[in-house]
Amino acid sequence: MAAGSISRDEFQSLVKKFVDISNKIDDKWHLVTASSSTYMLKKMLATTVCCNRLENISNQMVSDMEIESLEDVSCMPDVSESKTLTYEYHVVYNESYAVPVLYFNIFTNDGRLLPLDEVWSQCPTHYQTHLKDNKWSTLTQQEHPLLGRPFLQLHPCHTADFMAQVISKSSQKINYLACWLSTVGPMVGLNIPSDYMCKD
Amino acid sequence: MATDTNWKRDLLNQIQRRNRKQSYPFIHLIQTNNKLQEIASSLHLKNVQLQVEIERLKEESISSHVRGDGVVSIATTHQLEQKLFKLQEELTEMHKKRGENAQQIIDLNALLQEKEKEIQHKDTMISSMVETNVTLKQSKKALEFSIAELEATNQMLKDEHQALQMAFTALEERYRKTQEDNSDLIQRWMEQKAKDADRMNAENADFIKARQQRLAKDLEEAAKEQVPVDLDKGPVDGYIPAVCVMASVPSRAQCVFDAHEGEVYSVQWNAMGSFFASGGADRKIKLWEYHNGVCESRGTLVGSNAGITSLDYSQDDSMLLGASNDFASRIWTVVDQRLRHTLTGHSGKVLSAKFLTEGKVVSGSHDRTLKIWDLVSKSCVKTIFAGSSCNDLVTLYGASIISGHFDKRIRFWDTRGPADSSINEILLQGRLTSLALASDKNQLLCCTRDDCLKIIDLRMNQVSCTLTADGFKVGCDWSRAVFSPDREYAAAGSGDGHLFVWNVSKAKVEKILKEHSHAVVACSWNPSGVSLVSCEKGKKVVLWSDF
Amino acid sequence: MADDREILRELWDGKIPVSFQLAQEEIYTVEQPDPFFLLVPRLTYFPLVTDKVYRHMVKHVDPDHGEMWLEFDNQPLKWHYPIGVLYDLYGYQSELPWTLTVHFKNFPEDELLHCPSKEAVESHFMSVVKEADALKHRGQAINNMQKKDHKALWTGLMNDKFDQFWSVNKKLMENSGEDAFKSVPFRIYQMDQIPVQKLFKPVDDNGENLTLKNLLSIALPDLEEKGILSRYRVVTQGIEPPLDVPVGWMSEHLSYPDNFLHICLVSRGHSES
Repeated sequence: MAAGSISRDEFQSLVKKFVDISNKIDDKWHLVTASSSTYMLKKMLATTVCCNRLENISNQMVSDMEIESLEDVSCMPDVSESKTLTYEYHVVYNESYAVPVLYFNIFTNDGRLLPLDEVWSQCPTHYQTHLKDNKWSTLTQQEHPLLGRPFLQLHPCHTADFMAQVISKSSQKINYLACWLSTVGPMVGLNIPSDYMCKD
Repeated sequence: MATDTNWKRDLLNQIQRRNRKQSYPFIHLIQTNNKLQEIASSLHLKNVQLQVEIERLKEESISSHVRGDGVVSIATTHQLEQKLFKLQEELTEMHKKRGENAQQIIDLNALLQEKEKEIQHKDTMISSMVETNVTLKQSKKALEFSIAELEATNQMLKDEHQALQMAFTALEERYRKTQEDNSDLIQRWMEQKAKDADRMNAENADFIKARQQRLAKDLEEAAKEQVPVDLDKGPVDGYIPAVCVMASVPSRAQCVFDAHEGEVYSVQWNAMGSFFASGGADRKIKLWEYHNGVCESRGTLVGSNAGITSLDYSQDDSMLLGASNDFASRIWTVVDQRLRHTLTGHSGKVLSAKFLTEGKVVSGSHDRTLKIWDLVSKSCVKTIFAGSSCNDLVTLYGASIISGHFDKRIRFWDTRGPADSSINEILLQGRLTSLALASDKNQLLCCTRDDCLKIIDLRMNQVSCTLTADGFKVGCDWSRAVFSPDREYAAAGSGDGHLFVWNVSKAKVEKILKEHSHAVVACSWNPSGVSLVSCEKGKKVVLWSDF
Repeated sequence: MADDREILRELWDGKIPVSFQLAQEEIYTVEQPDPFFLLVPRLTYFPLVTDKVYRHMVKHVDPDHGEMWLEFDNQPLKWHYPIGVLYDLYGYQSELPWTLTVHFKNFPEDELLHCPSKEAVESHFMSVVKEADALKHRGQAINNMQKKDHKALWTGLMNDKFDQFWSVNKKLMENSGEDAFKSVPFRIYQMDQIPVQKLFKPVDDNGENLTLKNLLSIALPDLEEKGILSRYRVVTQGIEPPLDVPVGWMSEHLSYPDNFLHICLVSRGHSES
């Protein structure tokens, strides 16, 4: 097993622990089993501003997250300026790269998928420059390996390298999943509370 | 590997069949269809444009109608209507064409199915071919293997052959060595035999000595009886051949005298070396004895009707044989100097005659024959047709004859064999004038008209030595050359009157003797080797010695 | 090896005749559009060859149309599968030309990926190639390549240039010594099921080559009990390879350009009827 990658069994136990913590802090992650494989799923609602987004998005997202975590839908901003989206995140193990992969879909109110170019434009500002040159190798629509349905996918080919660097630099044992998700999640509107880090 | 290639071939076949079935039949079809579709769409476009044009023209016509250009516009309208009609016809035509195209597609589809069937048939054929191919390949492999085997066997046989050849060479070598050993042994055996013979000879000598002693005793006793003795008879009975230890080369003329009244053709010492005979153009043979520096005549033999060409003493010196230009040979007894035999039968002058044995004589003639005579029956017993005039001849061992001829050949004859063919011939550069045997009978001295002497080794049958000299000219067809008794020297007279003596072993002139004033014809070496006698075309005979 | 190259060449030349017909309910004009015929390479993807179809059909539909998508026998066709896979899976042994229905409405979002441009196809293709190399060489081969090699691989496929494609692809197919395949990238498709993808080493612990049969029994644990081999044909690249072919060799030679072996299980009953 190359540095920065994990085996399927490791993934299973990591996911289980992660969901345990999630249950404690009510983070809505839960386990799903399909085609004799287990993956981790979270659904959440968020409101975002359709226009005039560039500066505000990250802040807005944070506030959305707060709203979401509080389940206080009534506090949403003006509907005419913003729209409510449903986010569905899947953390699936990929055997080819031996790493976890983040799949997600963003649905509009009427149940339609948010088109890819809008997803790209929703990404936080500091990712935009990177996206400009590499959007087709970073975030694309792919077939979900267990469901066979189209999902957006953050490409897993650099995960192992990245995690290897993180692991080699940290002195103590770290929570692999939390560490990875907290790095890639913000790019697609997913926040990981620090609770996962401490309670290992 | 075999199964590997099998499934690979299977896969390839499958893929090829797939392509033949799925894509190749459609390439043409789809290309055609796409083209037709393009044409149709472009026609459609054109059609729409034309419709628009018609509308525009209609509007134009209406507007012109309104303006009042009635007649003209009606005509125009009419024209336009006609045009419209035409265009509509064109359109219909187009539609028809499209229908045709559709029909064509259907036809092509049918054709395609047919082709597909054909392809299937071809496929089965190909697979059967492939099978045949495989079996053929296998049999080819088997054949190749057998070839390789045969080649290996061949190589093995070759190696064996080589080994045998080597063995053969070795055996041959051994065989050669063994032969050498054998000849060595034979030689040793011969030597042993010779020794035995010597011993026998010694015993004989002893025996003879003892008898002589007894005889001497008897004689002594007889002498005591004082019987008167006739001294003249002694030399005649007591024949002792001269023995030469070492020939000396004559250095000066001891005695010069006029022997005949005319040319002297022949001189010959007897075997004892006490007398010599000379024969000349005056039809006489004269006997001479050298005594106290003077040659004294001891008698004259007469009876020949022409010049004497050749002389020969019998082995015991009792008889003298002379050949004559009157086609005959004659024999005289020396003691009573009487003519005993006249041998006639040749049809040309007789140039040489020699004793073959005590009872037989051979003569060589200008009539190109040799004749053998029996002295008992006094007749010719054999005529040999030599094919060329015989200038000289010598005899060997009582049976062999060597003759020298005008046609430059030396011929060897065996009197015991068939008469007509020589057993050997040697061709020289000039015609032969004389032949002389060395005392050991191994070498033959030949004098030829190209002014040189050749020595032939009879054991080798080839010329072993050639003697020439500046100024040496062979004077006539019967010039005679001789060996010294010890074979060290050869002597011959030259046409300019000089007598040449060669050292044989060095092949160089030893001495040139000058005394004769005419061409020297013949010479004869004293058997004891101390003196040499020569004769010339004048009247003279000269006796040479070195003291 | 000449055989192998011939196989590669013949595979590359595989084409399928397709008849595109506009869905009846979507025809907007009075005139009926003619079907459009194309001979499409098996190894490529539909968005790379359907430009003409789009131009031909779009004249006859509502100008306010959506993204074009294809359907066969009520089955939307996923453009991100190579055309050969789609044909083997859905149309195997159906009549040729393969008749597909063209739609411009009601895009089945929960089944098909959007394809906004050829860049999407390129991105998808390259990510699959990367995944395949992650399986075969832990990503070493693809990472050692330059950007222009990646581009050559893509343009080789897009422009149907066999030599250009293989000049690069042969590095990805290096299967000897240190570069021997760690796993074989493969997917097994069955109608109406999620494709199966697992780790599979082409060589067992004793160094013996594993065969297609081994692969099937590992990928489909219920192979025997369901009697799959008697009910289904094992099809890849439009042919049915013998089950004793070594998987390593198959991966080298029978893979699609995305470096994956796409194996379809096609029901025998279905094809015979």
